[in-house]
Amino acid sequence: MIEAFVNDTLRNATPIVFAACGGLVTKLSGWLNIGLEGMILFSAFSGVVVSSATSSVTAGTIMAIATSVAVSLLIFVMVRYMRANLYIAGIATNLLSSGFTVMLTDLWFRSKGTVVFPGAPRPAVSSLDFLGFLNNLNFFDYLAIASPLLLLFVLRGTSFGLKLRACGMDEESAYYSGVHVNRVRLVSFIIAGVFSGLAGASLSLPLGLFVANMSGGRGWIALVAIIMGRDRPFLIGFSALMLGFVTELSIFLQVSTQISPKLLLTIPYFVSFLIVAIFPDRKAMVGGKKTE
Amino acid sequence: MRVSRVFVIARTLSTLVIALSVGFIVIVMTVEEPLEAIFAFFLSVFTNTFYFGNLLSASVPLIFTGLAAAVAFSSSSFNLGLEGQVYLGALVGTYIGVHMGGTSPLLILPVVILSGFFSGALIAGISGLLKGFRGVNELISSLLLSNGIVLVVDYIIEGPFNDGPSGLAASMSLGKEVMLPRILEPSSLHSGLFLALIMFRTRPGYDFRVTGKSPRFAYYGGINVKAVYFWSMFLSGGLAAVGGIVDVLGVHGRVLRGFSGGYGWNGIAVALIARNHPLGVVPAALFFAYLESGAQIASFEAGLTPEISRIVQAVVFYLVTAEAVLSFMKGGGKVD
Repeated sequence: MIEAFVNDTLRNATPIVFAACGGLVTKLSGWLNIGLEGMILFSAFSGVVVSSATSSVTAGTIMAIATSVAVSLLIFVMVRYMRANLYIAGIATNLLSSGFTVMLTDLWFRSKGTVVFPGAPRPAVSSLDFLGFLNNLNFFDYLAIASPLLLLFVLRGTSFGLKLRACGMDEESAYYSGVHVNRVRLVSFIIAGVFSGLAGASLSLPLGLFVANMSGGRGWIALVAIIMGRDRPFLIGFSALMLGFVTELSIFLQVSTQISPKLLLTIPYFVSFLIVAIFPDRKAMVGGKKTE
Repeated sequence: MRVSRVFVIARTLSTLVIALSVGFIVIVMTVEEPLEAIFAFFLSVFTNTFYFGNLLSASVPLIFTGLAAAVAFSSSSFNLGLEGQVYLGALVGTYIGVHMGGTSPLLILPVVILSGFFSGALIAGISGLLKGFRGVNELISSLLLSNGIVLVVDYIIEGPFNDGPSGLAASMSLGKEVMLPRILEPSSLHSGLFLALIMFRTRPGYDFRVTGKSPRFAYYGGINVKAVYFWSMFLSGGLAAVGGIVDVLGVHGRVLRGFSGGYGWNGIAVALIARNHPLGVVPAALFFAYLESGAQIASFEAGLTPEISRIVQAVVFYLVTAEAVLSFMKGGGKVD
């Protein structure tokens, strides 16, 4: 029972960890990408469609990543070259994803709700285990556990990490010290695309199905994890785990109690709200304007 | 960068034209009989007074959410919780209206509208307070609160406040005597004028706009920036909630599950197209109402997916703030 709960918590945290890692890289570059939600949804859709068509989990994952990177680049191009507002372009992506995926499921599969892909292969489940806690974890879950480590190495141990943080702290100083600010941001958007693609793939591939709006706010909850983790990869991974736990709690209570599922589904949102209220972001993420 | 008003209008219009062309292309690519669908989407609404009446009444809540988004934007706040505020305002107003049944409509109406206003205003005000005093990002806090509230309202109208006998996922109904006329264009127009007056002719409006341009300048200029953040979100949430309750009073007479779907995001698009000008909100809201009604009509007349309006909407979002659109008009238009 406890084992299953821990297990489900880990699996719920997987997409949140991925998306939070991707979001963090863009945030540190100074251009926070709030289109994560839409990128996850797009890649969840394309990933499961391709994995079902090719009977290959790898192909599905690659497709999910490619889709997400393409969408991330679309946002980048709109902001960099068309000089659109970063946040409005992010919101545009979220709106586009929910409209576009529903239109495609309606056109291709004659369904606007759930599309099941019976032939879609599922990612292999590892036989590795620890007291039942790590039972049934797949490739994505392990990669999610490793992601904060990887990110920590990139941020602290490479020159790219240094340049990335420099861009976010003061883009002019970074520019005059010879950092190609726009190139660094382009790379950060590609990295965010890769991570969101993994988040999308980890949602739809293990289930072998796509549900309209299956990203279910995870892109936003990932931003909450970033705020809660104060831009530190490990703390973010831990925060995402906690948010995964809260999500799992709302699912668990739906099964085990008589409380209305609608009310239980509000738990992740209200808990996230409390978290952002308790852990304020002094650097004022949006607009980047300081008032004090 | 200084840009002339004519140029800004031209840029906005070209955004709309590009967005509609994308809609046009998607229709041609996805529908078996594109001509019929295109006619239904773009023109049917003008062929029938019922459709046209629907368009006008659909624009009313959009005018309110558009004004709501514009107020927040003009003081550099992002209110992404409009959707929840519309829904909550509708529920609170309807609840109070139903429980006041039997009293004179002259008493009920103002109480219903004001209670709706304050419910949305307080919820959005929390995000404004948190932004001012704790540095909490209002974009995320308002969105999270709104997402939670939508589910709570769903629960209330399906549970304790459900209209049992009707079998609908809807709240109990207001009495016919409190209903407003269906087409409220004039009254929503008044609120636009009123807001324009506040924004451009009063001290608080000036404070809002200065804070929007540069919070730091406003701060050193002696403007209470924290208060501006609170009041602009408060007013924004209140306006959105009034949009919700007015839609109930004018059209449905009760809160239907999900009736506010899209009012919030469309409201943001409306404010962006109107460049946050309260008077520009009215034509922009009419445009979005046209888009939504066109998609609805085409979905039942020609089998088009109504989600197409979402795609057009997204294209508007992508392009509307893009300064590089039409930059060639200004001699070369260096895109860098």
